[in-house]
Amino acid sequence: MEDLFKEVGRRNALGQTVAMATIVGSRGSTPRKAGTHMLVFEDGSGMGTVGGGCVEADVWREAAHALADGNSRLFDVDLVDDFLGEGDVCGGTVEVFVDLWRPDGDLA
Amino acid sequence: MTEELAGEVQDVLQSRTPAVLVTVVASGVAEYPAGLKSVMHAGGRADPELPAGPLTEAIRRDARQALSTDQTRLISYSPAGEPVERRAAAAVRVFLEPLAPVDRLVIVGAGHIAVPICQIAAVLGFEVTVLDDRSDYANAARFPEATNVIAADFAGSLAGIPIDSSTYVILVTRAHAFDEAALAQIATSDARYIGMIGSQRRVLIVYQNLIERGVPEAALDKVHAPLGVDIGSETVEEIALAAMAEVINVKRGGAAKSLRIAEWRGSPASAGKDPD
Repeated sequence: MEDLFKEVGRRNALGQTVAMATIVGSRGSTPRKAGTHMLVFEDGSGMGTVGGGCVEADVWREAAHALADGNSRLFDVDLVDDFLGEGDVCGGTVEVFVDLWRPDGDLA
Repeated sequence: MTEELAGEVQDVLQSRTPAVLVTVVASGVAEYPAGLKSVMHAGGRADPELPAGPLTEAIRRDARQALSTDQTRLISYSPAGEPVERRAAAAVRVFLEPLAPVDRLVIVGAGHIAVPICQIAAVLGFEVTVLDDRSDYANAARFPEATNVIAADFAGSLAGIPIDSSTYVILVTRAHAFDEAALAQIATSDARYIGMIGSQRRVLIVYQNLIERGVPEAALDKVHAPLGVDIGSETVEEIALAAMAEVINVKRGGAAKSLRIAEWRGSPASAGKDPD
């Protein structure tokens, strides 16, 4: 956790905005619990994980949108299984908040 | 302007100060926009300060509770600070996240078992301190993954390490007299976990000696000894794995058993339950 915030501070100091995705709630069986963070940077790289696979792809896309339009967002991700299509291996839903951590002096 | 807040969060984590990160994740109230964040300290001080009023007081109260239970909370409030359904009109949804400092592992004794314990603990994200009174064992070359390696007498070294509720201690010295002295020193500390190596016979000798020395029985009964989850370990690496599995089991409140499909298939829990 300390590493993540250190990286936010470091990137902010370089003038970069960082998107932080946080699992804020979960229902059903989920691989990662509330309080799990993942960072997505303006250069397309990231740090941490919110569970991998299909969840991560959805969260990554929303984080990229947030960096592009400057708005935080709250959304649900269903943990359906890509392999089985209709299937539902994890069986749960996570609620994710994507927020922007901005450099000082950036009023946007 | 969250750069300053990121620094504040880092300070809190580094100084191991109890605090909660408060984040508004959805809102129908202009004074509490989505994305509003603050670090709320145990004493109630919020940095940056939130708008004065009943809603902030409700957040303050629930943050204190999140801190004492060490659990995240996601709560929906009315503008007046009453708890409401998440879809209620004008609800302010707030995520409360206790800022947990990095877990520390203190390995007392730098012998052959300490090496794989340190390696596995580092992989698991622990900040590791190793101590021993022999500098040919307690040195950075032998423990490259450790944050601190202290070569000095056990009592003095141990006294210099603040042991809080995010600290785990493993006693693996070369002689039960050293384990005994170290355990006497930390048995009543706030340590989240104390594990001690040894045969049951050796453990019992230490236990009885410490009872005679006046160490409270209740404190000694909590000690994990002989340390490690029972996975039939034989090699030092396997014993280290068993010890760290036990540490994780304590940290996560696990049940430390091995599941076969037949043991859970068809049970209500397999239909999916909400652990939160």
